[in-house]
Amino acid sequence: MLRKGQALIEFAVVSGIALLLAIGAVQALHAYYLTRQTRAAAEEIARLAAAEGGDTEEVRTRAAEILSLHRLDPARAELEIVPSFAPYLEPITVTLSYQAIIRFYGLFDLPIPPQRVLRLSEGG
Amino acid sequence: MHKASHLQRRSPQSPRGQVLVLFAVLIPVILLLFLFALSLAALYDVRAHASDALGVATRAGARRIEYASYGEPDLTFARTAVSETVRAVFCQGLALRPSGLADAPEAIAARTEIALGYGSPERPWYSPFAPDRPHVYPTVSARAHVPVRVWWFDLTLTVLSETEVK
Repeated sequence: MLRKGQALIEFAVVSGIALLLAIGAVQALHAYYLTRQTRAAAEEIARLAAAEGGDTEEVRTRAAEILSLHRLDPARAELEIVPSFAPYLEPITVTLSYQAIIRFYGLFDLPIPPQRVLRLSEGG
Repeated sequence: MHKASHLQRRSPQSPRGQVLVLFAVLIPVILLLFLFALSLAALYDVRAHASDALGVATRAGARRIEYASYGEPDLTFARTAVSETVRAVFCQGLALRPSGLADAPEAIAARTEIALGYGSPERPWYSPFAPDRPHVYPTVSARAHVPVRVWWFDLTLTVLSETEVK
């Protein structure tokens, strides 16, 4: 009887901790997933900006489509393309920041790091 | 009979130890899996950057074919000019993101294999790097072996790019 009670207490403690860990793991994986999606979108946008030779209307329009294809909300994304016009074989930097609110255990927000991609311009 | 009593005596104790051991093992395993996923992501990023840089390089080389063919029809000249251009642009592209590379961009570019073929519809050209694809236009083909360092492991990624001049 005493052993049965011990097992129950152990089970309660262990399952509580396991549940906490599972919640944390799901939140961390969600943040990781969004980071990878942001990275993939940034790479595609950078390829497009490199082909166009900088920051053009076409790039901005297609960027919104690319974000949607990667299941990201364009309204939460901030895109920076530097320089706005790059001559042939000059570097272009594309920085994509995504604002996602993932409160880790309700304590603090898990950040999605801005994704910076450098490519050589093929336009201009 | 003796066996049954032995099992009865052991069974109430075993779950406690098993659960704790399982729990203690599970956390490092989850952490290792997460680190493995991060390593794969790092590999993917390096591969994406290198293959993009090689693509830009072969396209730059293809431009040299066009320019070379106007002023200088000599094939040897075109081969040298194209190879130099591909290596220089590939090096420039790799240098934009040297993190993750286990060697200098200059050394990787110098080891890059480049082939130039004047394919035509009558005489298709087959690249030595992807011999199953016939090219019916002048083609610049390049294959690079990119050494990558992830944590303490050295790996080599092979990237291939081909550009046809149409």
